[in-house]
Amino acid sequence: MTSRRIFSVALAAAGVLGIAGALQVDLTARRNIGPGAMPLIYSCLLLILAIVFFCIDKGEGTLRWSSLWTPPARDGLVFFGLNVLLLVMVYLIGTAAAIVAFSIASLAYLKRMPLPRIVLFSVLWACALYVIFVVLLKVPFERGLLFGR
Amino acid sequence: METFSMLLLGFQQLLHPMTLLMCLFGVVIGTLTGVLPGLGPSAALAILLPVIYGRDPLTSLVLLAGIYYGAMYGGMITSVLINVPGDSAAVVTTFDGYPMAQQGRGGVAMGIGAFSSFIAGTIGVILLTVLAVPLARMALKFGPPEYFAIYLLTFIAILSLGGGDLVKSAISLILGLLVSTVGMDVMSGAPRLTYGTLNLMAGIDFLPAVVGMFGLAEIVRDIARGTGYSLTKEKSKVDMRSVLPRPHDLLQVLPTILRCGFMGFCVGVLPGAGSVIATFMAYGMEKQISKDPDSFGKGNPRGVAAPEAANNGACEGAFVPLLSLGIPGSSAAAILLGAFILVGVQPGPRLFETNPELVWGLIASMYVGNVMLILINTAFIPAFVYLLRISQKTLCVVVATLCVIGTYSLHNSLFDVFLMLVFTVVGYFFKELNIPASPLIIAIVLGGDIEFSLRQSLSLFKGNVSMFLGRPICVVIFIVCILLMALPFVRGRRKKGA
Repeated sequence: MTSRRIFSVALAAAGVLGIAGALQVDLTARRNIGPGAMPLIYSCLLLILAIVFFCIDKGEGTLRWSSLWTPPARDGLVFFGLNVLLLVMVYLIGTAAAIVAFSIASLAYLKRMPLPRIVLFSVLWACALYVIFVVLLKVPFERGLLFGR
Repeated sequence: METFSMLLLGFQQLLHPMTLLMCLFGVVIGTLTGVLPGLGPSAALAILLPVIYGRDPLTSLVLLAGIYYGAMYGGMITSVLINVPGDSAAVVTTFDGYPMAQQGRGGVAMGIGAFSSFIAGTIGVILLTVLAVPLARMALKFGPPEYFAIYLLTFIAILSLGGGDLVKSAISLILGLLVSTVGMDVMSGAPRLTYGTLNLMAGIDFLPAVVGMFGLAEIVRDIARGTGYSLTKEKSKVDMRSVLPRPHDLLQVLPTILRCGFMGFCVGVLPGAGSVIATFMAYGMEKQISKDPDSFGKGNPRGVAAPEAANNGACEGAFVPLLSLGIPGSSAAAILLGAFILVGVQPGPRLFETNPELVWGLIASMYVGNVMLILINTAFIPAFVYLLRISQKTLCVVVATLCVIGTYSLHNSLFDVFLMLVFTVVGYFFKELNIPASPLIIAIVLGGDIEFSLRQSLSLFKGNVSMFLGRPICVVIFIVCILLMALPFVRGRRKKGA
């Protein structure tokens, strides 16, 4: 299955979900359209476009299910996975520690730099972000569930 | 005369040291954004947007505008040195910039690029100064029906002027419009498409979408395709003297800069066309009127001047509908619209009356910013190149962490970060399938407004749709809409005929 078709199916699913959601609210109001009208119109259009997009497959997109597990596509997938993990870690151990862990994991896997340099960069980068966001811009960092969120 | 005195008022506002510092800070970040491949102006603006929350409106907007037009300068550095455009508006600069660098004239190419950006950027700001007020005055006569017509025109222009596949642009636009309907309905208070999720009640902000689609998705895709860049010590040897073009070189490309700067501005005013299309059009035009078209693509300085002048002209042009009508023509302009709202200012026709200090201060900052940029881009090019070389290995981590923290800091919500990751997947597929992301972002920003103006108009007309035709401005705009809708089909027929 090509990436075009995978995306078409996802779009169609979004369209169906949109239609189902739109039908839960009023479609008409007194001498006006209701809150559900526009979502319904957009969802129907999206569904139609998804079908058209699926049918006129020009074989675009180099991504295939099978190629996902070999480099470099696998590297992209792992990096995205690390970003998902970063979100989970921010929730669990807080932003600063999560950034250090994420930077070490990403650089060790993708760039194969010497470990001391990776650790040094990760700690310095986390400190720089802390100074910029927390100290200068007063944007609080998440403390994490384990450290009294 | 009135415009001139208002501009002076703007310069007075700008004299505050903090505002000037933010202008400098903005153009430096903008240049950096342009220099670093994988980080476009939209992503940089989106990441920094939460930072301006609760701060002085003028300094905040001067900072963000500086990033926007500063990125147009920086993009050409990597285009020339390593054949990798810093952002999409610098793609065309690679055509002649890189061959010039291979011939040992990389410094001259960057110098010509910087001066073209400066001259065209200044032309653009002058035109913005002259045009914005009359357009805003005209727009003061607009009511909800006229605004509905304008929004409709914007969306149709995005589809027909985008230049790409119509189905793909339509998918992007409709998906964005659907996303904009999520959350509590402003007129009835009914929750829509929330499926019982409390986090969705406030709707989906455009920021996670922008950061995911323009920031993280770009990095993930670069890694997944193994398309990194490699800048060796030898390639990155640039000194300040080599960047300064000789007067003879500048005089040779001056007509090109003036032509392409003006054309870029006109293209930038149109919603959906944007700086990328402006650069291709400018390059094509210069090649067509050149006495030696074969030299293009082989290191012709005019091939560098044309796209650099056009993208800067287009960037300034995008401010005309943004400031006068409150309508963004590109994704970066859509983020700036969000920035205005975030600092409590509504862009649109009343902006020039209600906040003259702010709007004229912003316009004045563009004059000053352009001067700062020409100095930075000639004196500090070696520093930017050095930064580019040392950031090769760590850029992915820097961008990813900035995306996460930038999104989180908007509402201190991890749900926003989750949404950003969802949009990263969407953005990845968009890039993989060549679907433009700008229509989606503009639709998320304007989707609520078009629906609100339609429903307000229907209330005004007591449900009678035909009353739209009783408003002359609406009729004119609808005719333009029909003509624009016909444009892709005419273009398709012409192609078939050829």
